[in-house]
Amino acid sequence: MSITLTNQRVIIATPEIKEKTTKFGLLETVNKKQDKYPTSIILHCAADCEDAEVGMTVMFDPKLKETLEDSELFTKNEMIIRESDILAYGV
Amino acid sequence: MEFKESISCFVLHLPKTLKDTIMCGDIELFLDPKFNPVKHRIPKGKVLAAPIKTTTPITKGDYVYFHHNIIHNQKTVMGGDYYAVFDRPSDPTVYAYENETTPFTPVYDYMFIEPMQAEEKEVAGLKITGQHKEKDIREGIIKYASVQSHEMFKTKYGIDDVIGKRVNFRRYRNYVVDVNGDDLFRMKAKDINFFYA
Repeated sequence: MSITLTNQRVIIATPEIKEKTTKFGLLETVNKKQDKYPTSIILHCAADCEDAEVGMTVMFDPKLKETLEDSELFTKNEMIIRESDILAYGV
Repeated sequence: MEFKESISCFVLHLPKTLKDTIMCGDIELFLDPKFNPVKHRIPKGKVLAAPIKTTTPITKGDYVYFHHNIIHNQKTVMGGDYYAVFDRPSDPTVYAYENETTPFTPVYDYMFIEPMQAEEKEVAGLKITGQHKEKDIREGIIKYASVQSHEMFKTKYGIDDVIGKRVNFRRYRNYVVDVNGDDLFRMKAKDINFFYA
């Protein structure tokens, strides 16, 4: 089913959960607090987006209240956020 | 009481602010709204005077739907059954109107959406209650949309008629309004995430 994104919404791939090995050799997931500025790739964007383009790498702050509340899980692999929630674009 | 005109607020007549009866089949039962006044508020009233300083399609004699907090805000009470409702484009409190010739019409960029029931989920064998199910609803069919929102979607996205379209909207936009017997979600055009084709 095709969709028409509106209101400067952007669909990005859900960032992977990062894992690191502790000093005791155990695997632990990096929680949102530690993973301060996750990056992802834009999959779709609304027609009225000013800077976002499909394929761009973006960085967003999950600690921002707006981002957390508004970045709603679209599917398991996709998240929908607003363009204004993006902090930086990759080159 | 007669009001000639108002400067910057709507003067509303609200003889009844809480719904105190409930229909059970054909029988009308009395109910005490005090145990849950929020749920039983009647956010609808007759306009006795419209503001002359604000550009609005609402005129004297129309019925307006307004923000639910107005009923409990003591600052708006003028005495008797009269309420002064300040409504500015930057801070809208009135979101729709109707009269004998005009059916229910939203103002500003308000939209009214018929919610689509969320799928029943079970977490660890526990059923999610109705109240929480309502919070999960993220999709619905547009039933009413204001002129402003119609124009916005037409010019920006080329969507000619939004009425009847299935949409996905932001989380927690589940404030229920009773519009002529239908329970609809009230939200703004900016809350729409996307339209289904």
